[in-house]
Parts: sequence; C-alpha cells; structure tokens
Amino acid sequence: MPKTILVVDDEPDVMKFAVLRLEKAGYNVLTAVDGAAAIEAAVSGHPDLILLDIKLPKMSGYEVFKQMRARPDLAAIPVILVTADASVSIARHTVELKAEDHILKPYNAEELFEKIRRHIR
Amino acid sequence: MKLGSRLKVISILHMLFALVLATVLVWIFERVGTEGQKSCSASQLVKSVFEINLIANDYILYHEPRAVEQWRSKQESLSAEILASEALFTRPKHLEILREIRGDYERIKGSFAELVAQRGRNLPASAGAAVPEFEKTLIVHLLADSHRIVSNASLLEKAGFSDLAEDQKKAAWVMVSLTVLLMIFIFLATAVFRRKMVDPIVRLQQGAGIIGSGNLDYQVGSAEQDEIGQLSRAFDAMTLHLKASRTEIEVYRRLVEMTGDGVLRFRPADGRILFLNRGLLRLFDLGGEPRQLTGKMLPEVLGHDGCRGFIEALCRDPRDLRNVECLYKTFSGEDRWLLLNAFLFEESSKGPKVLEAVVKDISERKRIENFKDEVIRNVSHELRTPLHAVREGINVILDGLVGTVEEGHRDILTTVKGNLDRLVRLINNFLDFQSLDAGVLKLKPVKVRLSDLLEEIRSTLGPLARNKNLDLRFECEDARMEAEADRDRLVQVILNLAGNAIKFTERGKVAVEVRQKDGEVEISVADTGIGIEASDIPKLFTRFGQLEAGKFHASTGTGLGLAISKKIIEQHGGKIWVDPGYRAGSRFVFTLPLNA
Repeated sequence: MPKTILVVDDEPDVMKFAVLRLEKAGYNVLTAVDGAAAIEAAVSGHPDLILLDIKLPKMSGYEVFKQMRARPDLAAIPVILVTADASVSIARHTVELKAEDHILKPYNAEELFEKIRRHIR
Repeated sequence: MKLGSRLKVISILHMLFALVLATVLVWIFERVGTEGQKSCSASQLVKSVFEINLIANDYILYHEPRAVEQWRSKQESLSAEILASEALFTRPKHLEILREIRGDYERIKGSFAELVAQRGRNLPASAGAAVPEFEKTLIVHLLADSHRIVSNASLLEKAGFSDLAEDQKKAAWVMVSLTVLLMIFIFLATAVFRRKMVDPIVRLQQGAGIIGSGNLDYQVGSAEQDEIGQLSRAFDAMTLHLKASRTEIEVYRRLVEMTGDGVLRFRPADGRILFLNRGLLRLFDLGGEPRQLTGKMLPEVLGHDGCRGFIEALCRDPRDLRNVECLYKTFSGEDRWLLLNAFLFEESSKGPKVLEAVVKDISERKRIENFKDEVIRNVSHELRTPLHAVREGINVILDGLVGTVEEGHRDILTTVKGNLDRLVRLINNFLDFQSLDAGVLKLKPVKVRLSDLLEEIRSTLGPLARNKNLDLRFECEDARMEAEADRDRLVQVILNLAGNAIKFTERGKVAVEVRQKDGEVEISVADTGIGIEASDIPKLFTRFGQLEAGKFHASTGTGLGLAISKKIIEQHGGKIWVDPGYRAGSRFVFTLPLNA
C-alpha cells in the first residue's frame, strides 16, 4: 500500500516537479494550493505526511499547521514545513510549533526523500 | 626707574636733609655760644674794673702797701680780658667802644702809676691825712676813666645780649623753615610714592575686581617700566588670554547647544547631573531649560520606565561604552533608538569620576536598516522560488524521470545545474551573512567531539584534494577533545577555511590541526599555497574582502565565506585571525572556548 503525501504550495511550477518526483518515487500524492484546500484534502485524503509551504495566500502555513494540530483527526499527521525564505524564523517556528521538520527551498531530491523517510509511519 | 632705585633715591634725599638739619643746628648752637661768650667777657670787664677800683680805693684812702702789687696783677688780667673781648667782638661799633675802653685803661694805668710815683717822692702820708691837691686830680681822672670803662663794658654786655637774642630768633626761624621744608619734602615724596607705587597697585586691584566680575575687555594699561608696570602688562596679557579661552569655550558651548545630539555630564557616584544640553532634553522629550536640570539626580529626571534601557546602558562597564545602542520608549509609546558613546573622566585624582556622554538618535538609521533587511528577505524569497522550480525541472530531467537523456544534452544540463547551484549558494551565504550581521542567527550549541568533526570534513574534502594531488592532513591533539558549539556552523567554518586552502594551493599540503591552548580550543588550517599579502589581511574578513584582495576567482566563491566564518566564530565567543608569521603559504587560526 503506497503512502500518501499531501503537498501544499501556491506555486504551480514547484508543485508540478514535486508531484512528478514523489509519484515517480512511488508515493500517492495529494495537492492543495491554499490553507482551506489543504485542510479539506487532509480530512478527505488521510495523508501519511504533509509538505506544508509557509507562504500561502490568505492563510499562512503556520496558521494552517495550528488549525490542523487543533483538530483531533489531523493532529497526528507529521508535517514538514517548507519555505524559500531563508531567514531563521523557519527553524525557530519548527521547534516552537512542534512540527516534525522543515526544509528550505531550493532543496535536493536526496535531502527531501531523506526527511520524508524519517517521518513517515 | 625701577622701584628699588626709586626707594634708594628717596632714602638718600631723606638722609641729606637730616645732615643739613644737623649742620644748621650745630652752627646755631655755636653762634649762640659765641654770643654768650661776648656777654660773659663784657661782664667780666665790668667786674674787673670794679675790683681794680676797690684796689685803687684801698691804696688811695688807706695807703695799703700791698695794693700796688694787687693793682699790677689786676691791671694785667684786665688787659688780657680787653684783648679777649677784642677777639670776640667783630662789629665796627663794638670795636670802637673797645678802643675807647683800651684808651681809658691806658689812662687809668698811667694815672695810677703817676699816683704811686708822686707818693714815692713825697713822704708817705698816713691814713686820714688831708689829700694833697695833685692826688685829688689824679684820683678824679682815675675814677672818671674807670667809670667810663664800666659804662662802655655795660654797653658791650647789652650788645652781646641783644646779639644773642637776635641769633636765637634767627635760629628759631631757620628751624621752623627747615621743618616746613622737610614736611614739604616728605609730603612730596609721599605723593610721588603714592603716584608711582600705590596708585598702580590700586588700579591693578580695581582691574582685578572688574575682570573678576566678568568684564574681560578691561585693560589696566601701564607704560611704566618698573615692576608694577610689568606686572600690569602681564596682567593685561593674562586677561587677553583668558578672553581668548572664554571665546573658545563660548564657541564650544554654542556648538554643544546647537547640535541635535544629546550631551550629558554626570557623576555616577551620586547620579547628579553636571551638565546637559537642549539636544538631550529633546531626545528624552523633557521640558524646561538645561540650567534647571543641572544639579538634579539623573534617575529622577529620566525616571520613567521608557528610559530604563538608557540608564542600564549608562551603568555598564565604562570600557564598554562605545557605540552602545539602546531603546528609549517615549511617553506616547514610540520606540526611539539611541546610540550612546561615553567616557569615564577623572577630573582630579581625588575627586569622583565624571561620565561624559554623547547620545544620538539613530531611529531613522535603524528604520532604514530594518527596511533593508526586510527587502533582502523578500527579494531572496522571490528569487528562491523560481530558482527552485528551474533547478527541480533540470533535476527531474537529469534523474531520467521524464525519459532518457542524450549525452550531449546531459552535459549542457549539468553545466546549467552547476551554475544554478552556485547561484543558490550565493543567495544562501548572503542571507547567512545578513542574519549573522543582524545578530538574529541563533546558535544551537551541542557537545561536539572534534575528531569526529575532522572525519566528516575529510570525507567531504578528500575527493577535492585528491583531484589536485594535495596532501590533506588532519591532526587532533587529543581524540577525546570536545567543544560546545553549533555543529553545522562549525563544520561550515572549517569547510570554508579548508576549501579556500585547497582552492589556492597548487602543490604541497593542507593541514587542519586541533589543539588545546590557554584553556581554549585552537583550530588552524595551513596550506602551502600562494599566501596572502600582509596589506590584504585587514580586508580578508570583511564582506567581499576576498574579492578586493584579488584572490577570488569569479567561478568559485561568493566572497562572503570568511566574513561569515568570522561572525560565526565570534558568536561562539572565539577569535579568528591569519597567522602573520607563517611564510610557507597561509595559515588561518580560530579559537573556541573549551566546553563553553
């Protein structure tokens, strides 16, 4: 049974390659382009891991993360925070929000897969 | 004339006057003495004539035989007295009288001798016998002549007395006029003394008073060549000097008043304000005049909560008061950034120390810096997102996820990817540096076993060194040595230094050594490469310093590596430097606190 990964990103180009790579690696991939869609997809798709971009329209990734953790049905899903913003806040937020991990764009495929394997159950 | 010689002249004049006075007195006394002698000699004459008459009487009436002898001796002494008087009296009138006296004397002498001769020729008459006729005539002559001598001598005596009185009168006049002269002289001398010596001193004293009360334009002024004149001129010069100094102080005071920066002087011992300017009042939104706050306690004046940051900054170690940034919250809740520069000043070896501080409002600069950081962050984000997409696209192709790739295409795509990687590295470094520069990068210190760290670096750099045929060596003094550091950042620094060493070395070796020294961990990276010019060393650790030093090849680095390394090491509490004594190539050294 292939594992399901939810990719949340508002950049369609980035999304396109991520989906391609993850599917080629044998994962079942769900997508969402904003916070509301992400929560909806998480509820309906039961992903095993979420790649959550911080910079999203309307609702920030942090806010989406908090809402997910507040819901009993979603709280247990591991989340890797993703951002292209290299300022330190991402690392700090990861620790403060108790997210599983974070990764900085642009990332290497090996790095991404290593982190996914570490957190997927 | 000098004061000393002036005083000498005055005292000599006084002495001369005293001498003249004494001489006059002596002369007067002598004159008075002479006049006295004259009267005396005249009295003596009167007395002698009476005596000689008595003797003559004895002889004539009582035929006293011894009377002749007595007469003779008396007659001689009378003659001597007349001579003496002649020597004393000098006026012609008196000399005329004396001539008469001398004539009468000769006559009584002749009359008496005649009488004695007559009595000798005749029988000696007995006492009480009738007087012969010729004797009567002689006796009458004798008496008459004697009488005239007496009356003449009395005249002389009187003349002597009147001369004495006249001389006394003259002497009194001389004395009075001399005294008056002396008084005039003393008065004049005092006046001169006053004009030449006392007045200038009084003027000097008044001048000192005027200048002391603040009028520095006043000049005592003196053309005198004496000491007081010199003193006056020195005093005037001093006043001019004082005025120049005060003008200078005024200029500084105006500048201090004009500047928008705050200037503060206060005594840390008791917190009392010694001086502050309007700029400081404006910075802290204080009303009133600077003068009103002088002498008050600093914590009272800046008592509200918003000043806490500033007060705390002032209380730091005085050596640490260069470019201190502190935050001030205004009453309206606005944040104001202040830059504090202060110096602890010792006015005297005993007195309390004074802190002199200049405070600058750097809120605008801070705002611009924050804005700049914000812009950089946003731009970097906007750069990364498309870069990521491009890079991922190429990776997807290269990984064969969309079908096989021809060898020629693969080669081109690999080159494109390499350049993209470099662009990503540059942006990463740049952001690293920004974060480090702003001091917002937080280290995650853990215990790091240094020998493990070296292994990791060997595995990363080994292939690179082998490609250039370089001998890459690692030496660790003690395999168990540990330091507390942010592992990733520490690796970043050593990779940067060792990577640079390999980059700039064509043959020979690159040695990374770890040892313990003076309670610190010392890590050095030495190479046998091209080395570094001494003049380039100061630039090395600055942003793009490597670029300026001309060592950087456009294809291989970002120009930020060393600046970032320095920031990282300093944030760890260590130091980084270039060993200036190393000649074989270049040698970078940095320290970390041991288990800090």
